[in-house]
Order: sequence, then structure tokens, then C-alpha cells
Amino acid sequence: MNKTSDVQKASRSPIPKFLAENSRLTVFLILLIVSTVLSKGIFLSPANIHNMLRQYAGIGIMAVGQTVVILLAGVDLAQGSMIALVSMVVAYLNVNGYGIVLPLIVGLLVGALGGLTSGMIITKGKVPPFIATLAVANICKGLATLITQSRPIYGLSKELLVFGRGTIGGIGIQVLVWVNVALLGIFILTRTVYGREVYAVGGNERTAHLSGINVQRIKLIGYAFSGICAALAGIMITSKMDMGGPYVNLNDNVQSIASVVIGGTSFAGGRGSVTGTVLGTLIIAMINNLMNLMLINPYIQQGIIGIIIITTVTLNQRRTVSK
Amino acid sequence: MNNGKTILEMERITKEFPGVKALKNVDLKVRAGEVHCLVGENGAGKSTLIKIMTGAHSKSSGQIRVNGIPVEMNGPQDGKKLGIRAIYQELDLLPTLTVAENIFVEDIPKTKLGLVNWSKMNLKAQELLRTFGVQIEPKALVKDLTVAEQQIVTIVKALSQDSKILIMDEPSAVLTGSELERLFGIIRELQKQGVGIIYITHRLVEVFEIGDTVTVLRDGENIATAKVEDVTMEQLITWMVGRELGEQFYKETVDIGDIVLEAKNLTVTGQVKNVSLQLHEGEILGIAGLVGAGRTELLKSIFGQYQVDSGSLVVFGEECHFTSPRDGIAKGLGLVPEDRKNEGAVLCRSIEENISLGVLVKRKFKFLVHFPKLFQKAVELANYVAIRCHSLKQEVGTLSGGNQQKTVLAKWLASESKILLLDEPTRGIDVGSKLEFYKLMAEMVRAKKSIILVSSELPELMALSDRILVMSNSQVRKEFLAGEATQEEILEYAIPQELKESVRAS
Amino acid sequence: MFKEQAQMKDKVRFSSSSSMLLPLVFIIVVIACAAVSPMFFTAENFRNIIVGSATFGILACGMTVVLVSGEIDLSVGSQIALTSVVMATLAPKSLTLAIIGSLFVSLCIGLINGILLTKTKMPSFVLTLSTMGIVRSLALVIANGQPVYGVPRSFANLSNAVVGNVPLVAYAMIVMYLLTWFFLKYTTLGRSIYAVGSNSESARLSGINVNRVKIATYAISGFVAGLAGLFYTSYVTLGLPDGAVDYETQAITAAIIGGTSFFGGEGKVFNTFLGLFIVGMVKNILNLMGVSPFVQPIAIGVLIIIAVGVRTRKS
Repeated sequence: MNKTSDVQKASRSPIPKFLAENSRLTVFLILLIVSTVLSKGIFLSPANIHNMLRQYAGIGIMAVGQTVVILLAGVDLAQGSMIALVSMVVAYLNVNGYGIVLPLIVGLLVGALGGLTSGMIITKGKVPPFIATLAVANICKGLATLITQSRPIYGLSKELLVFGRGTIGGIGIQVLVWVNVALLGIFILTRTVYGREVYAVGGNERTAHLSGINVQRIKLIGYAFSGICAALAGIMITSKMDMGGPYVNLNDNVQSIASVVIGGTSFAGGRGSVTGTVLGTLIIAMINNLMNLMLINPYIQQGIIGIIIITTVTLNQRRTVSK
Repeated sequence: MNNGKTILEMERITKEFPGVKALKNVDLKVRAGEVHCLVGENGAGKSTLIKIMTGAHSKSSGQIRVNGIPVEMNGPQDGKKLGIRAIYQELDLLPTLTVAENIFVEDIPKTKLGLVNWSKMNLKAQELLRTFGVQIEPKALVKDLTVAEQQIVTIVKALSQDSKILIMDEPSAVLTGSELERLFGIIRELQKQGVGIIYITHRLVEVFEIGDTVTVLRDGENIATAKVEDVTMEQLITWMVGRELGEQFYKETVDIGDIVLEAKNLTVTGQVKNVSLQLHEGEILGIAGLVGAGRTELLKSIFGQYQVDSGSLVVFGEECHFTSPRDGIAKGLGLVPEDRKNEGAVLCRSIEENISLGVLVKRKFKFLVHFPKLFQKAVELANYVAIRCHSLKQEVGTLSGGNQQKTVLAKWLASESKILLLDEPTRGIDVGSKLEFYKLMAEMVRAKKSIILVSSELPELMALSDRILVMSNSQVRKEFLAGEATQEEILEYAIPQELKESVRAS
Repeated sequence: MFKEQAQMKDKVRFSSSSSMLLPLVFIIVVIACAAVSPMFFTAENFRNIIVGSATFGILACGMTVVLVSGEIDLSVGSQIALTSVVMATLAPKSLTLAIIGSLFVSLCIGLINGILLTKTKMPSFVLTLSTMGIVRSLALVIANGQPVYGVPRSFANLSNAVVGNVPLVAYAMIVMYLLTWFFLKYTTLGRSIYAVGSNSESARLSGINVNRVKIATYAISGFVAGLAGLFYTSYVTLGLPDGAVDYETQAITAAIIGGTSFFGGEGKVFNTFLGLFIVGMVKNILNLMGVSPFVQPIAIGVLIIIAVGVRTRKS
């Protein structure tokens, strides 16, 4: 009898998800307060927050895709190079008179294709994700620089700049894209069949296979999604900079992984959420923003992110172990 | 040879894992020069007991005395210092290293300068391997050897060091006849040197061939310890599989319907040989056999996990060629595997998600999950199979074995499987949960589902099944109707012919 | 036989290359390069290849050791930058002090990596990704984000020095590889690293102190990164706090093309050497043929996929 009521009670009031992510929320709130106090309130000004969000939209979008891949017990090291490749492809097509719709479609397709390539090497070739995506990263980097022999492409059409500079209702378009991609990620992982399958495959590939899940398909879609997210980020960045940039920003890839890890997604797969990742990106963004506001030496930024990763992951592991 | 003094005493050893009591007040004494056999079904607690003996696991309570002195062991090194060594069942080797290195990993031969002396190591390894009479190249990598050769390497490794107590965890499982003879020769030699040997085996004939004393474990308890000359094989088996009086089974009589599944000459190379069987609606078909008889493999090849090489499988009147579990599931099959943790459940996800996997696979929801519906279904099934938990959001890994098993079963109920393949479903589950599980099985057959049940507990199998197939050596040897056979008759067919001959010879 | 069993086997047997395959590929690459360009087989060209890959090459020794232990160290590129900054900062006072100081710093960072790894039980990828950032910050802060001048000319000249028509760095690299080979093959610690990488639970049951071995592995990786940092400093003649970015992936590439397993327990430093030069020669011949330098990463990417893919297929 007792157990029956337990089960029903649980079904009536499902525990809110964010409670399980306490440590991150705490870090986030502490940072929020510290930033506000130290910057004497400037931090909380709408202009500052808007700026911060615009600056980190690209990382935030990449991190959503990276979350799915890490949930599948993998990692995507090709995102940074993908940004460069997509940036060049979109800019090249744009300045050569293909308008904006076609370049955007081709850009997203390139992202999807790159992700699928990683996925195929991993599932068919049985190559560890680290190595497979490293190889694909090399290839994307080469292709990106090859298009114009490593020269940036200038002179994009004005319409294309909307993505990085335009606003809707006062909010930057890239921020809106980030919000939408994050919502899409949350939706996919919590509300779709595919999301359920991602958690199952990442949690225990063997059981997933024996429960009738097409493991290979799930992985392919995951890497393709990660590639598409990187492509979107590439489009935003191209538009913001008003040029096609062939230079790979390695740090972007690191920050994308850092967002996911700080966000509490387990590197072993099967545990984590996009909500956590968004918090992770925001934590990184706030640290950076605070240091800018305080005119603190920007060089320590990477170090602080490193320390936060170590702290949150360790705390997270303690929590899991004590359970 | 039984006059040696007691060198190892274990008293009231208890070991608890989260959710399970693996050992309950187990006593064990080993004398110098004695071969002490340890027998019991899988999951009876043998492996846990020897891990405690060697210090690899820490005990929850109880006392260990070596030569009369109480000892506390905090790691395998402590056990080794006391001269207790083990040859583990799971082949504790370093696969990417050479044979010689594996043998001497604990005490690498060194030159005067303290460097690894490869030539000496290879030479010594060669000598040791030769005493065992096998041709294994010391420089070969362990991962390139056959399983039997790997087993020999573990034995040679243990022999290369002086030990007072040598534990052998099923060394015979993968050895062939001549290799086994060789091993027995070595054991007798060690006996003369006064080494106490703990010998774990599933092949009971070996108990009579090599053992002096035998201890039977069941469900983490010491059921009996006796001199080998005082017991019979039937006695041992009864101890191993038998249950105390008063333990209950639950079985309802239901009408058996038409054939739902029929296999003809099903063959999977090396695993299943020419198996034919029929399963009817509402029937529980029991499969008996010793460990390694091919029972698990049979279930997996019916399910689609293993590719069938020849023979035919007809499910609900349709000829089927399953290439993956997905095909089997689509046809209404569900497998509750023996290895619950690695194959049955996704431990790091919630009960609800695990159960829902069964719904998702039916593709009722093409893309979107209708959450309330899914959750309602999970609640319904969790109540139906009576999972004890705080909430359905709880991770399956935090549940007890019985509740994990119920979750796996609920998954297949969610997928509306018509044919359930249950592989040792009640192993490692406490008595109360077992009874609940039997009642669930009865309800399922009442709902016109059919069950193929593999179990090593004969009383359970005999009480629940409508028919029993007895397997040995990957083949079906005999079919019995319910109530037709006694334990002894079933065992008669379950024990492979060669084994019976060898016991007669010895 | 069974798909799944085959898959499991693939994992276990991953990258069990036969010992002759890689040298064969190496020789084929040499012959192919020589056939394609007459400029390839010249002393001058070889010097270019060697000097160009010296820093990665030394780094790859340490990376091989870490990969054999079943872990990864992404922080070595940052460590090179830190070493070069420490070196350039201390050099005006005393060259000896500068060399000892920078090696000491990198050894300490390796030790800290190892201790954190064993204490926090974090995946090494995540941990060293974090320390990669921390060490980089440290270098930037010490140098205040600017290149540090102060490397004496005598030290800077070392990278160009030639002994008997062979660059000094070539000798140094060969000595490094011989030392690493000797260490991995003939010392107890070296063998313990293989044991831990092969199966850490078995290693533990065999009485190996797994944590101590892991800490030692990272200390070695740090120390080797320090040595690579010294070469780097001599080569660029500056302390560069933002230099040596992505060097860790170059080192990893050499090791995995050389057949070092990503799952630990397998790998030969001699093969890493071959891997390093296969990469170096492919880049070089593309240059000589006048192919755009931007094709190089594509070629390396394809090379990685083929090298690892073929090995997995084979087993």
C-alpha cells in the first residue's frame, strides 16, 4: 500500500529539474551577486547583460550541440573548425552573388555533413570520438583556409549582417537564436523519443541496443546536430564580424566543452541537461564580463574557467558518490 | 592428508553491498595440505568470499584468522603478504602485456642495476610454462592467446610465487582434458608441500576427483561443510539448488493455447546446436541445464541478439529472420537478461525512463513523447509489478536487485511483449521478492502471454513450468511435462555424458 | 561471429598493429616522396623536417607515456608557453637557474595534474582541459601578456647549431626517444605504466600502486613538456606566453598515427617517432610540390582516419 502511494505522489509532483542541479545554480547565483556588488550595479544594467549575452551567443549555441554529443559519451572537437569553415562558405557564396538564402542553407548543410562524417567514422570505423572529431577538425580547418588561401572575405551584403547586429524588440537576433536553440535542445532531450534514446544510449549502450534502439542512428543524428549548432554559431559570428574568417578559434571549442562540463553533464555519458549547459555558458560569460567591468587582467580568464570546471565537477562527483 | 593444522579460519563473515547482503555469517576453515572445494550456483557468494579472503574486498563483519592470529586486510597486497593468492575467474591479466610480464608482474626479475631483466624473465617464464607442459611463447601478448591459454598463464602466475593458501576460482571452466589432468597433478604436488587449496568449481565431478573437503554456499550462506568421502553428488546438488521447506512458489493453472513460437533445428555456431522447441500461448516453458549448457545463448538467439546460422524460427505463424533485437521486439518478444546491470537496465537513468523504453520501441510515438500518457503508463506498470521506490524519478542503480529486475520486466510489459524470455530472473533477489515475481509470472500467463524460463534453481523451475526442456552441451536432451520428472531425473540429462564417464572412471 | 562479440573484441584489440606495418608505411612514404620531388632527398630538406618537428617530437615522447597509461594530457602546449616565459624571465639573471627553474616549474605542474587526477577522479580529458587554461593564464600573467625578451643569444643559437652537418636538435631528439624507449622498456615504473594502462584493476590486484604510477606519469609528461619548452624558447628566441597553442594535438597525432592505443596499455615510442616523421614528410612533400599549405591539415586528418580506421578493421 505504502509503495503505491509513493509512486502516485511522485507522479503528482515531479521534482523540479533545477533542484538536481543545485551546485551550478548556487555558483551562478553567487557569481550574480558578486558581480553586481563588485561592479556597483553596472553588471545588472540591461545594456551590460544584453552585451554579455550577445557576446556569448555563439558559444552558447555550440554548447547545446556539444551537450547532446557528450551525453552520448562522446565529444566533438570539430566545432571550432566548423565555425571557420561555415563562415568561409557562407561569406564566399554571399560575395559571389548567391544572395543570402542559399549561403545559409549550404552553411547549415556543411555543418550537418561534417557532423555526419564524424558520426560515421565513430560508428562504422569504431574510432574513438576524440580521434575521429580531431581528424574532422583538421579537414574542416584545411578546407576553410583553402577557399581563399587563408584570406578573410569582406564585403558581405547588408542583409546578412542582420543575424549578428540586428535586433527584434530591442533584443539581439543572435541572443534570440541562442534562446531558441537552447529551447529546442531542451525540447529534444526532454520531450522527444530521440531525447529519451540519447539518454539510454549514453547511459548504457548495450542495454539500449537490447531494448531495440538503433544506436548508430542515434549517434549519427547527435553528431549532425552538434555540427549544425556549430554552423549556426559560425553564421552568427560571420555576421557579427562582417567578414568570413578562416581562422579557427580553438578557444571557442574549449569553451563549448567547458560550458557542458560546468553545466553538470557527465563525461561518461547518460547524465546531464541543456538547462545545465545554458547555466554553464552563463557562468563563463559572467566571469568574463565581470573581469571586463572590473578591468581585471583578462589573462586570468582561462585559468578561472579551469578552476571552476575542476570545482564543479569534483562537487558533482562527490554528490553522485554519496548517493 | 587431512591432518595438517588449520591455517585459515573465517568466522561469521558478512558482506553487504548497497541493497544486497552477499554473504551472511559464513564460516570456513582451511587446513594445510587440504583441497577444500567451494561449490554453489552463480550468485551464491563464492566470488565475494574469496575476494574477502584475499583482501580485494573488505568484509562488513566477522573475523579472519591466519595461523590462529586475527588479521585485518585492507587490500590485495595484505593478502599477498600473508601468503594468500588467488587465481580469479575473470582472468585477471594485463591483456596488452606479454605472457612473461604477466607471470612476473609482482616481482619482475631485475639486473644488478635495477633494470628489467627481459632475458631472465623470458627464460624463467619458459621454464614455468614447461613444467605445466604447454607450448606458450613467453613473448606473446596475452590478448592474442586463447582463453584456455590465458587461464594457464594465470595459474602459472600464481604458482610462480610462494603461497600458503591458493584459491582457484573455476580454473577448469575453460581447460581441456589434458590441461586439467596437468592442473590436478600440480594441485597434488602443492598439497604435498602443505599448501592449502580452495578450489571453486561448477563441475561437481571434480570435487570427487580432487577435493578433501567440500563447502556448499547458497544465497550467501554456508549450507554445509563435509568431507568429500561422506557425500554423494546427489547430496551436493540438493544442497546447491534445494530450498528450505516452507519456501513458496506460486503457479496458477491456465488454459494452454495454440503454438506462438516454434524453433526448428536452431543452430548458432559454437553456442546452440539443433534446438527445436514449441511454445504455446499461456505456457511457461522451463529450460534446465548446468552453467554453460547453452541456455542463455538459446534465449539470445531466439531474441535476435545472436545471428542464427541455420534452422528456422516461426513466431505467431510467421517465419522470422531476426538480425537485431529490434526485429525480435517488433514481433512481440522481450528478454530479461541474466546480466541485469550491463544488459537489462540503464542504471544511471530513472525507473520511469527505463520502463518507457519499452513504449518508445513500439514507435507509438513517432517523434514526440506524450508525457502524461507515458508517465501514467509507467506509474501503472510500476504499481503492477510493485517496484519499491521513493519516486519513479529515482535512478535504477539505487534500487535493490529485485526492484531492478521488476523494472526490466515492466519495460517489456510496456512494450506489450507477448513472449517473455526470462534468464535467471530470480537470481540474487531476496525470498519475498521472488514470490512476488512468481505471482507476476502467473498473472502474465493468465493474460495470455507466454514465457520461456531459464533457471538454475531446479525446484523453482519444476514448480513454475508447464514443460521442461533439459539442455547440455548446447543441445536439448530431453523434454519433461510438469510433475513428470524428479530433480534426479532432470540432472541425469543435464550432466553431460563425458562428465559422467569421467566420474565413473575416477 | 556475433556482431556484438566482434564489437567487444574490436574494443579490446583496438590498434594491435603488427609491428612491421608502420615501418613499411614509413619506407613507402619515404620512397614516394623521393620519387615525387628531387628536392626531397637532400640534407637541407631533412634538416628542415627535423628542426620543424623537434618541439612536437619531444612533446610526443611524453604524450606516448601518458597515452600508454590510459590517460591524456591536454595541458602540455600551455606548459611549453609557461616554460618559455619562465626561461626568458630568469635568463638575464642566470642561464643555469633559468633552465633548472623552468624544468622545475613544469615538473611541478605535471605533479599537480597527477595528484588532482587521482584525488578528484575526474576524467583526464576534463581535468587537463582545465589545467590547460590555468597554466596558460599563469604564463600570460607572469609575462603580462607580452613576449618576454631576454633569452641570451648563446641559448637561442642552439636551435640553429649544427654538429657534423646534423642539427643539434636532431641529436637531442634521438636521445630523448632512446631515453623514453629505455624508460618504458627497462624500468619497473615504465612497465607499471603499461600494466596500469592495460587494466588498472588487474594492476591493482597485482600489487601495483595505481595512483602513484599515474602521478609519476603526469610528472614525466610535465618534465618532458619542460624540455620541449626549452627547445621552443631557443627556436623562437623569446618567452611567448601565447605560443605553442594546439601543440598537444600535434603530439597526440604523432602518437596515434604511430599506433598508440587510446585505451592504454599499448604503444611504442619508436612508432611515435615514425608517426611524427610520416606527418612531417607528408607536410614537407606537399610544400615541395607547391601544393597550398592549407591542404596540409586535410591530409593529416585523412591520414589519422586511415591510420586508426585500418588498425581497427584489421583486428
